[in-house]
Parts: sequence; structure tokens; C-alpha cells
Amino acid sequence: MEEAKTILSTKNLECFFGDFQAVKGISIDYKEKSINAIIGPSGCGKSTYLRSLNRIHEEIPGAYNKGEVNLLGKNIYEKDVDPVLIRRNIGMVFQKPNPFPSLSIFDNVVIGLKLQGVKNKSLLQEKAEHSLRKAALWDEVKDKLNKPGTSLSGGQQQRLCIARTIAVDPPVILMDEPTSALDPIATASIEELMMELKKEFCVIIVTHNMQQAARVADNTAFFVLGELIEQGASEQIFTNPKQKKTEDYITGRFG
Amino acid sequence: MEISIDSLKQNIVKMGMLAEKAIQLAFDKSAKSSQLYEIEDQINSFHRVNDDLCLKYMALKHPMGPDLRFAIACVKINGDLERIGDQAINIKRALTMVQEAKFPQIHTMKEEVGRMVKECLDSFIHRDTKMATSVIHNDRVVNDLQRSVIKMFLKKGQKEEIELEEGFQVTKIAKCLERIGDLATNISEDVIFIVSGSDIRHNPEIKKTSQIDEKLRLIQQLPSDQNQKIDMENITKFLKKTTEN
Ligand SMILES: Nc1ncnc2c1ncn2[C@@H]1O[C@H](COP(=O)(O)OP(=O)(O)OP(=O)(O)O)[C@@H](O)[C@H]1O
Ligand SMILES: [Mg+2]
Repeated sequence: MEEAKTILSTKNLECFFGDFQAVKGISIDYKEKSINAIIGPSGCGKSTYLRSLNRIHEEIPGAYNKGEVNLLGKNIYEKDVDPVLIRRNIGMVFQKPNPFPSLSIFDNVVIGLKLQGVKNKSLLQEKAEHSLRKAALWDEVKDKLNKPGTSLSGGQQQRLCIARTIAVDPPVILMDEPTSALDPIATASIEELMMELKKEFCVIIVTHNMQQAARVADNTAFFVLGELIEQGASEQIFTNPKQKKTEDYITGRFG
Repeated sequence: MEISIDSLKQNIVKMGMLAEKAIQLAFDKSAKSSQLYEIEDQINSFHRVNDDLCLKYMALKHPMGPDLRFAIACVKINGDLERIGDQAINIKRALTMVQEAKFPQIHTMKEEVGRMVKECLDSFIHRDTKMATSVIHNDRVVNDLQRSVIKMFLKKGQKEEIELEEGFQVTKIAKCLERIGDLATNISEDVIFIVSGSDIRHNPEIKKTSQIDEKLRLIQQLPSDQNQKIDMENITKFLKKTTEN
């Protein structure tokens, strides 16, 4: 079997809120066509780390990063890199679905492409359908593409956000607790979708649902207080973790 | 009953004690068969209850890591203990046709296997991989003892020094004891899996130690020479000594 290519890697990534260091020197490689989970107790820096992978962490006043995030070999924190382009290209799905309330379902999906300057109507149409199909939402919305994105149910809105994210063909998709507000059926369909997305993309997901990490992720990383305690194949992390802290956490004995 | 690792552990320990009791009753001429059947009954109900408990524990608690390993191992240990009960019954039946005193190997086997069962349970209780490993090592000793019983049966049979029926029953008892040794070995392997997460089954290297080799050498001498008087006492002493270390 061919060795999978590393698509994204963090090298000694540190994240600060002013004086406070939330993430402490984390190095992880992410392979293409894989799902990677980040787990850990609340406040351990998962979201901060994730938001540093597409440079939205630094949007917060006083927040900054140290270390490297290499996307296809290029450090996105180098001076000549435009953070706006990075944000546009490394899509992010949040805990609460956040479709643009003023935009139709259709425009919600193609907004990224429009911002990139794509004007060709039939290309936008094609991309919208393709992304909505990928996000397993097409059949439910194809007759009401002009309705506002916010007119959909929570689970549908989340899939709409995923469609929006994948419309620009990002090499990496970041998801921060994407199913924590969804019922088990919507959760299952998002998880199925992740498995589908994994065929093309690299997915990095923060989740508090350990069963979810075990179900979908190829690899799992465990954070405590901004530090990487252990990472490895989910198979190993959830059956035979090497670190006592990981063991205590996954068995619910942490603290 | 509370659905927890603790109740699962307690149930397995209780069931293990019943299995030990079953072996003891099987060899106790003064004990009635009905006493053994009663124990067997209790073992069987633990068998059902424990599997159900494991199922519920996994379905409701979604255990991970060591807890998951524990639950899976308990399903297997549960089955192994139930079969020890079955073997005890087989032994009791066969023993009615055997004069035990004539077959010192059976006595040695019983001692060895009884200790293996006790120690595999102790290793389960105390998560003691060292003890579990020593049980696993002893499996070869019991296998060799069984072989020596069969050889003796063949030799004595040829010389018509033994009733065919009785000899047959003796080999059957040896077979049952060997099976119990296997089951104690399986349980010990599961204990190691619980504690360390490693699967050491079907690995002949693990079963080799020099101490055991010495023990085996002595046992192999047992049936090889018809004229040589077997110094069982000496061997039993040796077996005791090696297991004390
Ligand atoms: N805007 C902010 N200003 C200052 N500190 C912050 C800010 N946001 C987060 N933090 C701190 O950074 C640390 C990491 O927070 P983060 O949101 O990354 O945690 P998390 O692992 O995602 O937690 P949760 O599981 O609760 O979402 C916490 O100690 C938090 O208090
Ligand atoms: Mg968070």
C-alpha cells in the first residue's frame, strides 16, 4: 500500500490570548484522505488549536500564534501569506450551524466561490448541486434553493454549512463539535457524510463524543491543558492507550 | 444488580470459587454426586447472569480502553469457568470406576491443575500478570502429565496389568484435567490482556522457561521405564518448590 501523503502538519504550534498560553507546542501530521479527531476536557485548547489551523484565532484581539502550520509544505504563518485566502481555503464547520441569514440556500453554498470571483452562472449552479449532493442535502432542498438558509432544520443547516465548506474544494475541512447540537439521526447522517468527505479531503474534528471519535476518526489526539498527551490510531487510543491520563479520560475517570 | 465493573468482577470471582469447589467435590469420594450437581447448577446460572451483565454493561456504559478489555475478557472467562464445571462432572463420573490410589499421576495432575485454577483466579483478582504467566507456563507440565498417563495406560494395558475399562476411565480423567489446565491457561491469558492489552495467545515462546523445562524433564522420566520406581514424592516436592519461587 502507498504511504499516505501528509497534507497538513503543525510543528510546535503555540496559541496565545495575550499573556495566556492556551496551546503549548503541538506537533501533529495529518494525512490526506483521513479523519482526525481531537478530544480532551473542556478548556484544554481544542477549539483554539483548530482555529489556528486556518488563521482565525488571530482575529481575536490580542490573540497570536507561534510555531508552524504547514499546508502542503508551505507554512501558512509566513509573512507573504494572506490569511483571508487561507480562511477561504481551509473551511470550518462550527458547533452551531451558522448559515448566512440574509442569503438563500443556493447563495449560502456558493458564497465562497463568488468571493473568489466566480461569476459563471452555470458553473455556480453545477457547484451548488454537486456540493449539496455531497453534503447529502440535495434531495431535501432542490425545490427551494431560493428560500433562506435559516429556514432549514438544525441538522439541515449543519449540512448546508458543510456544503458551503466543500464548495471551494478545500484540501482540509475543520469541524468544531459539528454534531453536538444534533439528534442521533442527524448525527449519524453527518458522520456518514464525514466518511464520504474523507474519500477526498482531510477532515479534522473536535468532539466531546468519544464514541463519535472512535466511530469515524482514523486517528485521535488527546489534549489536556494545552498539551498533547497522546496521539495515535483511534483503534489503539480507544482500546489500549499508552498514557495513564488518556486511559483515565476515555474511561471517564479523569479528574 | 448494579451494572458495573465491580459487580462483574465480583460475579466472576464467586463463579470461580464455585468452579474450584466443583473440582474439589469431583475428587472427594465422600461427597455425593448431587452436591456437585448443585454447584454445577449455580455455576450455570452465573454463566447466564454474567453474559447478560457484560452485554448490558457494554450497551449502556460504552466502556473504552481497559474497561472494554475487561468486559470482553469477562465474557470469555465466564465461558471458561462454566466449562470447568462441566469437566468436574465428567471427572466425578469417571472416578466411580477408578481406584485413584493406583494412579499417582492423577493425584499430581489434580494438584497441579487445582493450583492453576486457584492462581488464575488470584491473578484475576489482583491483576497479577506475573502469577498469570506462571499459570501459563505450567500448562506444558499438565500436558506432559496427561501424556504420561496415556503411555502408562498403553504399557500396563499390553501387559494386562490393568483393566481396560479402568485404564480407559483414567485416561479420560487425565484428559478432563488437561482441559481444565487449558481453561485456567486461557483465563490467565485474558488476565494479561486485561492488564496490558497484549494478546499473548498462541505464542509458544511465552510458554518456555528453564524452570519448566527442568520440571518437564522429571515428568518425562515417569513412564519411560517400567522397572524404574517412580519417585512421586520427590517430584511432588520439586513441583512444590518450583511453584513457591
Ligand atoms: N477569547 C478568549 N480570551 C481569552 N482566553 C480564552 C478565549 N477563548 C478561550 N480562552 C481560553 O483558552 C483556553 C482554551 O479554550 P478553548 O476554547 O480552545 O477550549 P476547548 O478545548 O475548545 O474547550 P471546550 O471543549 O469547552 O469547547 C481556555 O482556558 C479558555 O478559557
Ligand atoms: Mg471548544
